[in-house]
Amino acid sequence: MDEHNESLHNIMESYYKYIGQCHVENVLWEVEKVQKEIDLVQIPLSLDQWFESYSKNAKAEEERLQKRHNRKRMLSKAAMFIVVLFVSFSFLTFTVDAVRIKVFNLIVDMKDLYSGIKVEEGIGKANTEHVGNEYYPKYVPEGYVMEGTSKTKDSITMKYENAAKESIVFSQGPMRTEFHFDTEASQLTDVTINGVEGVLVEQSQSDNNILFWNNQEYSFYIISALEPEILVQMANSLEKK
Amino acid sequence: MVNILLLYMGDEVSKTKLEELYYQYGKVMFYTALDILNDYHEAQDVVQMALIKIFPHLEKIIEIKCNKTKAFVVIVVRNTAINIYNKRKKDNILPYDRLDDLVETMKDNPEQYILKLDQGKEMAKSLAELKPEYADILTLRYSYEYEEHEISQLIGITEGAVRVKLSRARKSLRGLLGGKEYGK
Repeated sequence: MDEHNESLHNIMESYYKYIGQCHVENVLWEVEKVQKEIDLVQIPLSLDQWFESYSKNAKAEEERLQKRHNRKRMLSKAAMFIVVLFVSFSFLTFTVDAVRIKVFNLIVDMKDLYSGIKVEEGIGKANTEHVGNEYYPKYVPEGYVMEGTSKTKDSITMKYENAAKESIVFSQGPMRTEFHFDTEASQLTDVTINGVEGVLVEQSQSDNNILFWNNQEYSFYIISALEPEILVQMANSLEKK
Repeated sequence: MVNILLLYMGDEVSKTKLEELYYQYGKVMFYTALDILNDYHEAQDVVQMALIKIFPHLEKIIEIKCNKTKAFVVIVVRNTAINIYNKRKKDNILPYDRLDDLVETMKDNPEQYILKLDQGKEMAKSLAELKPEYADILTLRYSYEYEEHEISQLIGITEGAVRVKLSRARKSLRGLLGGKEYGK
């Protein structure tokens, strides 16, 4: 529609609106003419009763819709909050560790007597395939030799012993394997093994120390009465055969 | 006689909009319906139907106690009553279109007409006399600014029928303007 016709169209639209308003005045004038008769009208009781019932239902329906509307609003706010949180966390994670393809959250669940330690995969690309090659500590303290290995479906445990029958137990299992250790009267310390977060449990009752950590494939632990530094050295020396 | 229920509703501190509408215009609604149908029961039905139709549009009504709302309520009731009247007495349907002989040349160009702005009420009255629902539908569309599907729901006709009647209402109005060229 060109400008000229558009203007004319707008004029007519306004005119129709004006006529509508005039019609409203006419209607009101007609009603006013018979207002005395209207005032004398008796509305049937059945109509009043019908309206009372209808009004109650209408109110209840309105309240129900209002509640649903409020619920929707709250849910969408909660969802938005979660999305924002998720995006912020993802952003933070990827910017902090650009080289790694996975982020692992070490979850230590402190119970009264035992601690359950498990590695959960966090945000990022997951790779949980069992490669099939075991890890071995390249460094083994002097005097200790491998006494034996035991394999379950997924995990492998190696036992080293010295002449005094003092042992070092080294175990590895796939991600999400949960290990339980007696941590009563123990001290837990965060350690770093090859750039990854680990946990050192120094048990006072048994003189054993437990070192727990993981890499991108496995979770590991070493149990021994040796000093924690030696355990850490062993852990840092892991390599695949 | 004011019904006890209405009195009770009138004494409440806060009423819903619907209750306020009924309290304020219940009588005029009933009277309007009764005037057209001349039947108490059908008049009741019309008032009920009108309230049910108006209820979804209550949000659009800013002020219940105002003349514009009063006229709106009357228009809805009147058209609802006319629909029932037409259904009841098919052989007495109000003349459908006495306009054809009046309208000679239909042109959309308002430059052809003098708009007679000082005679708005007369023009509206003439349009209503020609066919009441033309004036009502035109008013609902342009003055109350309801969309066609809303008008359809309010007065109980199809959306297509609303479009047709609206178009005819506009044509009727242009016809009533006389076709006299402006300035001549």
